[in-house]
Amino acid sequence: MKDRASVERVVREALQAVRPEGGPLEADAELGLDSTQAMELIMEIEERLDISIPVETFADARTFGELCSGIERLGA
Amino acid sequence: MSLLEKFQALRRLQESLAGKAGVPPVATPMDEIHSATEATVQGRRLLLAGSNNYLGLTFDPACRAAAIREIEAYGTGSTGSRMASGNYAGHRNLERALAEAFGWSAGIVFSTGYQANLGTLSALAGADDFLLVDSDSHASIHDGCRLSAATTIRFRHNDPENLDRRLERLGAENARRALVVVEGLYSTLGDRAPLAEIAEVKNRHGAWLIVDEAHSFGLYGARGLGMCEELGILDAVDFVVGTFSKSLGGVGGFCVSRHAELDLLRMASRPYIFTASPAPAVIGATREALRRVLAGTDLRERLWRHVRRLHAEAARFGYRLGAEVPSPIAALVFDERDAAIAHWQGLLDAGIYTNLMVPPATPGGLSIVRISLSAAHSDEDVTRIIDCLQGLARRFPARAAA
Repeated sequence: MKDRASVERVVREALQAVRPEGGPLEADAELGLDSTQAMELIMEIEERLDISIPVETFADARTFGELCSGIERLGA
Repeated sequence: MSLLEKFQALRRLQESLAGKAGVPPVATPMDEIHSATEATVQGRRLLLAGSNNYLGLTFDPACRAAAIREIEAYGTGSTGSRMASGNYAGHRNLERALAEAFGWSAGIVFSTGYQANLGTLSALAGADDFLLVDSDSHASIHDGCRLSAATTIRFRHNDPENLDRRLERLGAENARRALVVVEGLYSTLGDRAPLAEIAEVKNRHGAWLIVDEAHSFGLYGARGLGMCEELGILDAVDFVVGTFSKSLGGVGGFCVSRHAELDLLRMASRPYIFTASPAPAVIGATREALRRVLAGTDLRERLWRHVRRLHAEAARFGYRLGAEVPSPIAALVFDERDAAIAHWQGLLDAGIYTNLMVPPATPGGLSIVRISLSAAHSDEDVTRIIDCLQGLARRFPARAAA
């Protein structure tokens, strides 16, 4: 089980890998990814945390904070 | 923001795709259809090389006669769901013929190919189940997953090892409730699924496998049953989905299975229940087209001769193709949107209609000119396409080799 801070750190790292030009993210910042980037982001996070993230978890998350909360709920 | 405000972005997208005056690459207005390979667009007669009419059966005399016969016997429409008054002998006969072709017990016909995936996936996978879906799947597969109450997990396109890891994470118990969803041939790049490897992975985990043969049924395999037959893995497949609107020249879709329970999907599948059954004419033509596919290999052989020729020549001119193995879909891949548009326009100027596909509708942000061939093309038609590509490769040498 990962705590909130480490989930946030992993999601930040994954975002950085997928979209290097993006700056640091606040919790309420919109992710604003196209579908290819979104797919890559999910794959990055899955590799780093060794979990599978359901499509529904990502579809429900509009912001950085919501995505982290969704992943936390998976019991990562 | 008001209800309609979001459409402003779509209007801008529509305007950018419409380009300047001329034939629009999206929703191209086909004014007259002369044959399986020719149409009039804005007063010009074009060679159709982007209609997925792989066997050219839309104008086959026997298929047309069957459609007319069926209209005379059963009328123009069924006006009812299969679960109500729209359950005609033609629907049931076609289902039987499809299942028998595979040597399986169950088959269901749907009103469109889109609904075949929607209706099958949403009903097969319930709340406690899992859908493991190739990330490059057709929209109808992704939408079918959304309509299902199951948990959907995507795996990397054509990557059995990536799928393996996801099934592993589910654990042995959940993996037995997991349905792996792939296509035989992917329609954007024309690449095949590594079905033997995927089947091995799903067998090892005790999961289930459904293969969408929309672009491969009628074209691959000794009897034309699709990629699973071609690769000799039908025994490892649980369900096959297909469409009537490509090689069979009609409209509609189907699912067949070795599992008799498929028949009970009729009781649960909303896209099957809450729509009118296919029109008699479509069913008649499709039944005849299926007979034609199963009866011989002449159409397939002609198509494959065209396919191999175009693939070899396009590669020789320096084009990057979406797949190394030739398929009825030849995808010319470009890094730059403008290069793809220039090639699409160049083909059009030469009187050849193809498909232009640009991001975000494409995988990996690629821009693609998609050429689909037909058994109804003549050798001269294919020569015309090849000559045009050669000219374009000379005009845009760096772009073609991008």
